[in-house]
Amino acid sequence: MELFSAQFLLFLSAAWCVYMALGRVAPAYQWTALLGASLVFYGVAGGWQSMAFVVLAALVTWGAALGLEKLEARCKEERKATADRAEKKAVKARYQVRKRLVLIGALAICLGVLGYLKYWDTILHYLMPSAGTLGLVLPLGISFFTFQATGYVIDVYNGKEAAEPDFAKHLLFVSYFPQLIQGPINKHRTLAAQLTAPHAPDAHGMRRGALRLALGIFKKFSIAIMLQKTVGEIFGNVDAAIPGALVVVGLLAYNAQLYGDFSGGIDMVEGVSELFGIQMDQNFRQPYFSTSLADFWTRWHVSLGAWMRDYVFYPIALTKPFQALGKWAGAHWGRHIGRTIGACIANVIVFLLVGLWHGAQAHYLVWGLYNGVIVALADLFKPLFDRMAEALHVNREGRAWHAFAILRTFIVVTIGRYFDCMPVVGDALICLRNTFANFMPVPWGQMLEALGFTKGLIPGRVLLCIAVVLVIDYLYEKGMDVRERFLALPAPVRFIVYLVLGFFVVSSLNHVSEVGGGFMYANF
Amino acid sequence: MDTTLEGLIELLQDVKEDVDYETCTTLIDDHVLDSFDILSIISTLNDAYDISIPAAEIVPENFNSAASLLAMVERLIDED
Amino acid sequence: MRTSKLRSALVALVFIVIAALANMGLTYALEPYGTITELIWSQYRALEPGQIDTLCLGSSYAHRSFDPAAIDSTLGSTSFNFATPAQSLDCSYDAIELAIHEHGVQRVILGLGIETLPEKPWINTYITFKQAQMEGMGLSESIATFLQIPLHGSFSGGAASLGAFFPWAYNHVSLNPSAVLANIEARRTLSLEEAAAANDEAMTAFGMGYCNYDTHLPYNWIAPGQVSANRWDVSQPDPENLDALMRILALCESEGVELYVVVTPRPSFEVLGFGDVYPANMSELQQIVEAGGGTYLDMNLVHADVYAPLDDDFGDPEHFNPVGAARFSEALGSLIARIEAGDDVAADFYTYDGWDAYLTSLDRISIVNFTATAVDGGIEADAVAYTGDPSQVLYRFSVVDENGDLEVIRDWSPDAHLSLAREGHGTCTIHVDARLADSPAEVDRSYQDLVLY
Repeated sequence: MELFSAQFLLFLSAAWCVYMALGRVAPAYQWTALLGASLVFYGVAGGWQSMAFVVLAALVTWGAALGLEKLEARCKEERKATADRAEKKAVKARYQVRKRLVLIGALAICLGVLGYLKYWDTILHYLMPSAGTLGLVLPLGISFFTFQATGYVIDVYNGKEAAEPDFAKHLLFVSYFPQLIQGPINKHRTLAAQLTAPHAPDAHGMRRGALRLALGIFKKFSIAIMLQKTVGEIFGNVDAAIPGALVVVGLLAYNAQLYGDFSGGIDMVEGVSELFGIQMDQNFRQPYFSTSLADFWTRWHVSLGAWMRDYVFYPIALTKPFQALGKWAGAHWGRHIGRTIGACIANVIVFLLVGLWHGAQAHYLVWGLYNGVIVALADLFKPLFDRMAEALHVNREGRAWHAFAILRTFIVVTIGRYFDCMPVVGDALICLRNTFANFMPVPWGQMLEALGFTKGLIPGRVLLCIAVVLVIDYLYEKGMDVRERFLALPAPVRFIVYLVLGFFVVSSLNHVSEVGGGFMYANF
Repeated sequence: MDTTLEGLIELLQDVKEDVDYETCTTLIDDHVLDSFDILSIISTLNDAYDISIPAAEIVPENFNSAASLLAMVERLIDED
Repeated sequence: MRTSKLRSALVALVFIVIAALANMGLTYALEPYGTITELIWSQYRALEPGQIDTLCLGSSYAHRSFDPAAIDSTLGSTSFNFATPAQSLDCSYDAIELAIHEHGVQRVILGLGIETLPEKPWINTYITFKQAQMEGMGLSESIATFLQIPLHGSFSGGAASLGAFFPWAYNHVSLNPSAVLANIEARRTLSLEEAAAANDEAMTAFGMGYCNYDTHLPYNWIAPGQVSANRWDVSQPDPENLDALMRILALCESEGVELYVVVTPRPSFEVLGFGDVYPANMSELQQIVEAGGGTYLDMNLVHADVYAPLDDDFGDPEHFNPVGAARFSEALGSLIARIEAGDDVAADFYTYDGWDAYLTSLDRISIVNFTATAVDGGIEADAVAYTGDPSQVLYRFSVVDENGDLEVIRDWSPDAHLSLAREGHGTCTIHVDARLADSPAEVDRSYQDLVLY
């Protein structure tokens, strides 16, 4: 079931009516309508067989969280019972081990299932290329709900969150249908209470939600869908002679396609969620206005970055060996390196994991490594860059520098995309080489003819739509609440805007029938 | 041990200058501090106050302002 | 409070009406007038009740294979060709049901190909078919027919289900003012027949639903991407199509109508391209049809003494031109006449079990082409000649210069692979000739393509 379909429209209308009606007659049970809707959605979209995986993840994390909380309570009691300070410490240490076991057990089950389904076929393929695949089918959205559920257990372990006693409520947190296909990976602290709180229909909030849904549809259809075929054709048959100019056009198109698809898809589900009065976590913050690669990763797929930061980056960087390494490096190589070296290594590990999260194929690991190393180097050599800027009298506060930093970041991100968009590392390397060594061997038209692109590459209307999205992002970047401003416009103006955007969406539908309409990020 | 707000701000300025620690209460929410800054702050505070700030303490409520950082430090000194 | 709510509801209603009118206007202006689907439906509607006894239908394979006059000349029938472009099997079902009801047809000839079951219905031709079907219906019947599109199992979960409300998005004339104006003008002034003829000058409407295009397949210019096996994924039959086929079989059986499921002929490279998939998939189809009481005829497998298409009969890799369709339809009519007279025609066909015998019968090269990959220092090209026994093929490679002259770079040899050294980067036109070792001609087939290195 795609979000832009008659089926989803009917489903959404029914779910909304039941939810709001239940809110009137039995507000305390209003959330059960969301749970029912979520399970139906997953059954139809992901297949009823896959539902077992959602329920398993919910069951394990629910039980583990309750266990952790019970252990913590018992620990407090026993500590209270003794006056001896050493004994108190011993009790704490004893319970710490038990809690750790529970946590590790829960993580091992959830991440183990994810890892087996997601990576085992690929690993087997690398080890024994001749062996056939096991044909493991990845349940829809498993990477997202697994991370969301495990994040919750770690929060309970750390005492940041209280455990949810009601399994059905916890199941709703794990399976809430707008987040299920492609995230965002919501935090328990921001989402859970909203899910079970009563919500009455709120006209303004729904208008905001509908607008966001419309913007998402616009990004997805008038940009991503329109570019999908071109990108696929350019990188579908990479050989040694692929001209760099074509590669660059293909990567620019891929950038736009991925942003349109992923952020558009997120806008759609965030908008859908807002119709129910529920705000999910932010996943994009104008990423193409980033001024550094590190900045980019706090703006692109924000919820995954936050998960990695909270549950991998900080815990690793704050371990004793990393702290000791920092002290040692500080003493030997200077204060700056001492402060950053641990973070840099932890950062490389995080990006390798982010790569692995996308898939076990080598190109994702290269992509992760590239991002991790660039971010780490930028930080390690920061004093050097500062000195260079000073020596060259560069004004780093000015607009020109800001624009330069945005462009530079865009190029750095795009180079990383070589390894993200092409499934074979060798192809990516050929494309990278040809970008510099074989940019345009023959005139553009002759090249298109030889490669069979007789109908041109990118329709001009897509560029127009990209410009519209860039302007919207720019206004957000300037701090404007674009949706609020838009909704304050006179009704006829809004109507005309909807009509024009609708025209672009509808007239892209013919491409959907050629390329299909699924989300790129639903596969992760 | 100097557990005054002034002392703490001095330490913070040592990690990252050009930040108005005295009035800013959205150091995290407005992305003033990035994750590398936060790690630097933690290792500085660990050394200065002889505490060990665990990863679980890295939440916006603790890091959004100098005052909240000081509250966290004092709490950790007490717990020890 | 109340009045302001009422007011905003009214404003919303006005906007919805304006949007709906705009949509209707776009449909009127952009959707091409005079599609052959419309034309075929209007010709069907013009029939007198009971006028026909035989209904031919299916997708374009059927549409451009069945010449009603030629079938009637050998079968003694009165037939109508109700096939439309990319007609899905559930649309075929509707058409069969209608023709049985209105004309009491006794015989249905359903033409299809290896892609028919696996290919999901195409939304654009599906909409056109349903629109033509709705013509002249009452309101409630029209709405019910229209809603079949968004609720169709193949469309309901995807964007097409909502797109169905905007037919112009799928079928539109060229988006330039003169084409749009011409379309509006045609709606106002031309009959369907005139508009259809004006839309495509190569098309001839022969009547009784049949129209065709007078083109000729250029055997020396068929790129690998034009070979059906490289275009369609035929690994899985679509469950909705399978279901529709079952319903067609059941309908014909219960109504006592003779159903002939005919695999329409294609040039042999089309069959060969699928390799072993062809006999595997098609024998499954044969079993389904025969188990359902239909007669299955794969006209690619008929012996040459009964019928064999000529090279010049094909308009493109998948379809006949009018001459080819007439020759084929006469042969098909005779064959069906023999079947209905009680002849056993099984001995006139090669079988999927005896696939080698079929391959042996293909003793000419159907086409040759090649794929090329640039490598560092040159080009690697792999030629493929489509024939029953590829081991008998000889290849000759040349390079074409700016004037179009050929320079042979490797003379005749059985090696289909060419490594061509090139320095630097540029483009180069490679030409390949192919002949069978015992062929009387110097060259059987050729192909050339521009390659970037």
